[in-house]
Amino acid sequence: MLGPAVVRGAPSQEQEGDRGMEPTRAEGHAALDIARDPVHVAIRGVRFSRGNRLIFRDVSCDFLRDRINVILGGSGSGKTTLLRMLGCLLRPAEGSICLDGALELTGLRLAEVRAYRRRVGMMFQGGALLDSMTVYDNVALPLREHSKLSEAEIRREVHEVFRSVELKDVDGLLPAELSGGMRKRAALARALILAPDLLLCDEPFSGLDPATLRVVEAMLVDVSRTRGVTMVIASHDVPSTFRMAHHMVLMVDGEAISGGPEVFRASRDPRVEAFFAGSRP
Amino acid sequence: MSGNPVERLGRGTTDLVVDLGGLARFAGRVVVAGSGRPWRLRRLLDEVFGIGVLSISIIGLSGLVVGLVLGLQGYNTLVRFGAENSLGAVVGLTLIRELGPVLTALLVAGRAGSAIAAEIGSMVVTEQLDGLRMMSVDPEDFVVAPKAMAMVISMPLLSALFITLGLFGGMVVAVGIVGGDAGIYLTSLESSVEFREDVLGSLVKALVFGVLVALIATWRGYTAEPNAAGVSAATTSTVVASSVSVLIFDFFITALWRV
Repeated sequence: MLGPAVVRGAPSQEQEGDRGMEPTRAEGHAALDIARDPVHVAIRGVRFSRGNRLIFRDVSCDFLRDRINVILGGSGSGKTTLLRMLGCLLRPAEGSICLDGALELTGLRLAEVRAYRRRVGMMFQGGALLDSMTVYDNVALPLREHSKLSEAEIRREVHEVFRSVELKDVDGLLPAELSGGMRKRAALARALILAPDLLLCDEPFSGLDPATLRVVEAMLVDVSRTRGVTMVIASHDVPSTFRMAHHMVLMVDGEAISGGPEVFRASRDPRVEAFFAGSRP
Repeated sequence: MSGNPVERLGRGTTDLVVDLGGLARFAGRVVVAGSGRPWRLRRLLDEVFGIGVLSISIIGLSGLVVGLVLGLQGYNTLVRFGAENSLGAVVGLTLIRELGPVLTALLVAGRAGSAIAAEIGSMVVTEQLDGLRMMSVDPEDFVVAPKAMAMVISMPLLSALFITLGLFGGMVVAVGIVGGDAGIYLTSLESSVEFREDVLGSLVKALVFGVLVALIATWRGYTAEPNAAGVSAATTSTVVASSVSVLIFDFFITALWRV
């Protein structure tokens, strides 16, 4: 049976392929130097229900530092729920979510949650841009709230991040005036504006045509490469996942199966085969 | 709802108590959030414009029409007793003590209260409030407090506008329709209305109603189910709960403080 897998040492895809299906050894964390620990977020034994419906029976998995981690799963499997737990928008009934081997997210108080969220960017499925504010004001908002930058410096920062996500001439537009792809990019810009070290992306490819999907995918890869940010993406798009992911987590039956793309390509686990249903590249 | 009537009553009561407890905690958080820095003056002014300024036409027109009707009904009643010279007092006291604040609150609950609930509810559906939380921006401070404060500020002002145009409507009837004298109307009004007891009491009532509508509208929107039906339910329940609360509080304020 496949277990939650994590790779120690340099997180290359080849190594993941070699060891990706081994069980996680959470007890080894304490001995690791945090600065070198390739595991940015470690999830252990998470259990969560919504009403009478059990979403997570026992979820354990890791997300690798400075890498693109993709959470896959069918509708209702809990991809977004897991992402929201990483953003402290939901709290598990049981289990541990540990950041950098030191910060336990499940026990944070409100002030600590707010401090933590300044290090985290989140790109929501529909963008979650404030529809009463212009795109510029949406992206400038975190800087206005959390920095002492002058308006000129904020303008410079916002336009810098606009350039990095290839957005032009959108300053005065309202979110409703943007196309789907532009809205995703604006949401990405807002998520990046405080230079987070953890970026959570909820279904960044949903509702996009194939050409725009490729553009957004290339942008996320570029962001990961140039900014050195740990990216956790909830997606159901299998081809893009295999193209971009360094590490994958498949949510199935309330549990997580994790490993590198090569591991998932080769897996004969019936749950993995059932999910991909012949769609693996 | 399943179960026997006693169970249903118990469950309904428990739900009500839980809801009121949630509302009280929410109110406390909004007051704390709104009273601390940063001052969101720009957002507050925008909300005062949306809630107050954009309600001027409906409140003004309603006040004028209510004043016209009160003038006609008052005259038709008073003339039977030969007391038509008291029309100014009847229109004035009725509008200032009762109809002004109550009808303004009902109208504002229908126009602006429902809009607040729908707007905040749709922000729940589209994850805009979660988006704010993820930016470490408190939605109760950024979204709710300016709307609630704007409602509390706007309600007494709109009520004053309603009353003013209502008094004018009464005078139009007294002078223009039934052929009375403007001086008699205004003298009757001035001699019967006490500033402290009537006018200030009226403003206090409007202020209380503003707090009620603000809290109910923002709370319903904030706790809306994250779907279209949830937003619809929040909007409807805002109007119903606000209207009923205003009428109930009106009775108690009148009974306890004779305002």
